[in-house]
Amino acid sequence: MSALRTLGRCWPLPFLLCLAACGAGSVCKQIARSDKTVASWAATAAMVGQRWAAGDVPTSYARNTLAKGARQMRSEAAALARSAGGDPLVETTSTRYVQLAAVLTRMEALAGTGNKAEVAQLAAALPTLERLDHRCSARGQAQAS
Amino acid sequence: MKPGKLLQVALGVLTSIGGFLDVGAIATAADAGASFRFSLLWVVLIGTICVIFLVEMPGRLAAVSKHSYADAVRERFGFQFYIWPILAEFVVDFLVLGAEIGGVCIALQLLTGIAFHWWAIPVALAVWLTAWLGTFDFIENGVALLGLITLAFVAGAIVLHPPWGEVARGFVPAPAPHEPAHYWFTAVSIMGALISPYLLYFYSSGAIEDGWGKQDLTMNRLVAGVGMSFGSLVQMGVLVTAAMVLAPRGIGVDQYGQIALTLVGPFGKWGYYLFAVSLGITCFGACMEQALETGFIVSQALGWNWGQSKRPVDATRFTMAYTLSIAASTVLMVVGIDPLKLTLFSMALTAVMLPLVVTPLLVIMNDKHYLGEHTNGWVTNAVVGLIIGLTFVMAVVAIPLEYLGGG
Amino acid sequence: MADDFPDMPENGTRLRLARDVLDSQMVDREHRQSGKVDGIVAELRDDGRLVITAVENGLPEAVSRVSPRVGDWIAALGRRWGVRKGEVYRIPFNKVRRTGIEVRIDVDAVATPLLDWEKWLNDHIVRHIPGARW
Repeated sequence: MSALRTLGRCWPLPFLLCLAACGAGSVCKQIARSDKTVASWAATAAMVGQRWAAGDVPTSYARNTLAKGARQMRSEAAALARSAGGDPLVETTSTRYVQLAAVLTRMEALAGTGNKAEVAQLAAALPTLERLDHRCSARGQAQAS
Repeated sequence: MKPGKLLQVALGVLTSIGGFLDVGAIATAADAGASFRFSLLWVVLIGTICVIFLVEMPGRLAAVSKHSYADAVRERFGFQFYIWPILAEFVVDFLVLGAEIGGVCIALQLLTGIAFHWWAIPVALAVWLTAWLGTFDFIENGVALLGLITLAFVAGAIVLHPPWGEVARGFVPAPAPHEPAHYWFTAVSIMGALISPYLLYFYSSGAIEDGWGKQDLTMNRLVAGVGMSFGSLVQMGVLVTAAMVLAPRGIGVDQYGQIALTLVGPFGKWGYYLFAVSLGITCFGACMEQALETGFIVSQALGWNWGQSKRPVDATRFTMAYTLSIAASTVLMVVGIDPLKLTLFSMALTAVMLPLVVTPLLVIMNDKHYLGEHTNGWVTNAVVGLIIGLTFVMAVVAIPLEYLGGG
Repeated sequence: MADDFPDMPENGTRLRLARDVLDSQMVDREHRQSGKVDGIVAELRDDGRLVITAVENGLPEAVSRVSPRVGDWIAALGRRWGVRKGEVYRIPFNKVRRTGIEVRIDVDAVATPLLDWEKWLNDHIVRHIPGARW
């Protein structure tokens, strides 16, 4: 749980670094696009986890959705690494996506054992992400001026 | 109006409401609400106005001339022209029917936990069996009345207490609040889902199946106007619930399971099952209409004996046409193609072929040979002209927008 | 029988072939849908008159109006596997009783190749499936 809290607190860090040090605006844009997808699945997992714990959605649905979310996050991490591999910011971001995917995988496994309390805790702690669009455009304006 | 006719109108309106949604309408409206809150309500409104006109006209054509739209296009424009919209329609029908079958499969997955592609063949068999044994009345009315369960989206939208001022502003066309490519792609997809070419063919064929005559013209107008207007409220309900449940959380629409959350939000556990049943019934109804429409257009293009209310032995080529159509489209789901991606792609493709399908309508509906004194008035012609212009614009921008903003 | 369909234009009246005959729906004596007019046959007589002699029905004929090559392929496929062996059926024009939205032909379609596919599908597939007669 403490790892997840750390993950959540440190989440904006790679993007601040991107803002300060991105060599190419396109890297920020790629990260922003991936962020949107990952944020969507994190939010989905949060709602699904909470609703499953409350008994509103069946276990099969919760597990399928969490598994799908984890797969999408890993897929985004891999795609990001492929498109701009070697860039330290991209590597940091990809790693965080994979860590987040691991959380969803854990939630899925816990849902399989009926552990509502822990799933609800993990769901509540899932980080939300601000999208980077404005940061990329602000950085672009800063470069232009 | 006599009580019997009133009852018919009421039934027509109810089936229009219950049959309004399909997999495309649900997916595009949910995507719109999740991504842009209420900003795209104006597109649903404009699309509905277009649909009202585009549904009234083939109904009038069939009632007066006893010819379907497909018949009239071939007769009026010749085989050399007609082959192209027909071929385009086959491609779109193949994809859309696959997506609708997928919608039913997803609903069953939500209810049972069994992966959707395992349901493809049983669903296809159920669709085929209903077409084989059912009459047109049963298919059109029975399934569509069951579809009234989709009013759950309207109820959900009300229960969620949306900011009604903001909802009202959503009916005013406005530039994209963000992500312009995605915004306009979603707008085009909504229109593609609403202004579906199959409506023209299916509606005129249905009017002939029901034996409509000139005495039914008023009913046709009422069902088109009132029925489609109320039906669009259901789609707006999908958009509003997505705007209230998904958008604030930053949940995008990447799979149908996420759309289920729109009714879980207001109704909890019941919402989940309401969504699954709504999706299943509306998509099943759409499967029927799409499959039969393929049978209608190929039979009418080639002059075969056709009719859902006929026994299979009395219209064998028509029957085989829809059977092959169902079988072919099922393959898309058996191999596990993502139903949501297929839906959004086929909606964009529909937008591309719309001009080919809609443009002949302007000529035919002004042809006294078919319609006698019941040709279009200048208002209707003006609206159809605008619709045709709109379809040309959509056709040009649909694929580039999908590439830029379709995800 | 000819009196049942009194609507053919009289001598000297203009007949609009492209508009009122070609691509129109054919219906037979029993008002059965019998295919579309896919082609029109005219003969140039020795005295220089062009005489309309028949209407045609057949997919190869219709497709060849779009592309003669594709029409030939379809005819070849029909000869190999088709029930009508790729043949285009001609109805003598003196059997055409009415033109317009429908073309009424004074034949019994069941006794002609017009419904061959319908019969073949019925005999070999459809009637063997339960519920086909319900």
